[in-house]
Amino acid sequence: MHTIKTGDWRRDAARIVEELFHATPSSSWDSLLELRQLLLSGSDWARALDVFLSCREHLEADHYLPFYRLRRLLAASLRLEAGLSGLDTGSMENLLKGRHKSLSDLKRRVRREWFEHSTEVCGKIALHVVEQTRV
Amino acid sequence: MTTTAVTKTESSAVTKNLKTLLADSYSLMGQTHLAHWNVEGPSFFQLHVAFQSQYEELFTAVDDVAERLRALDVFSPGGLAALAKLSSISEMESGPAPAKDFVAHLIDSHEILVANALSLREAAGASNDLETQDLAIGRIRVHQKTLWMLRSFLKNL
Repeated sequence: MHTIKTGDWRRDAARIVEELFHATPSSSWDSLLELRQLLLSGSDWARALDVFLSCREHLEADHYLPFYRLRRLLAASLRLEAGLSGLDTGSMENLLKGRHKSLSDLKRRVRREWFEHSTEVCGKIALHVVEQTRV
Repeated sequence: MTTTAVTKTESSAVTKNLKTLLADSYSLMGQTHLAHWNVEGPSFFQLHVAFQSQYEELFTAVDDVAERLRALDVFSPGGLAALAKLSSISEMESGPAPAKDFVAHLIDSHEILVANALSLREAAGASNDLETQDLAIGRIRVHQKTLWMLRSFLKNL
């Protein structure tokens, strides 16, 4: 399986998801369909990341390579923002290397790391998933 | 009078493809060396040894590719900066990573090398340069075999 890169990361990622349909049980297709749609529309990155983490949790053991490729594309293209607080959320690459099962898990890790550095940090700071601006 | 001398211009398709193959092979050698050094976990011993045999093979290969350029009377690019500019192989960060990430990264890189060597094979065939075509075919065979091994490692049986 070789994914041809088009230069459009969303299309490349959607194509990797499409390839998974041929190799995964039909019980996973609804989630994969949703992930593909979210990647192509680009309208809800929080949901896209959440569905990706859920699909990875269930399918990665048998399909490591496509999930590695998806992870790399998402890590290079999305970032977590802490609103106006200016707090560092760490690199998406490192966050996605962790075994988080959902976006809530991932956000909990970021907040825990903030708390480890300073107990002054408010745990209610909102975290948003946004697409990186390409230069 | 017949001559055995073969030359290619700097801009010929064969030359360009040879230089790309050289740069990407050199880059892959570096990435495989990185994987050899930094891989960790229960598969350490088998991957450490496998990566070593792969970068050693690539060391010989880059020499063959560079010397084919010289045989065609074209100067070979060299040096890390010059080769990095010509290469499209991405680099892994130096840091902790699951052993499977090293394998997956090398699979992506070997796939690029297969695509390079296929282009070289076509270009060499089109200019009736059978010796360069033979080199390209040899490289395709090696990278396809390595891909089979790396992909097999990722299988969850």
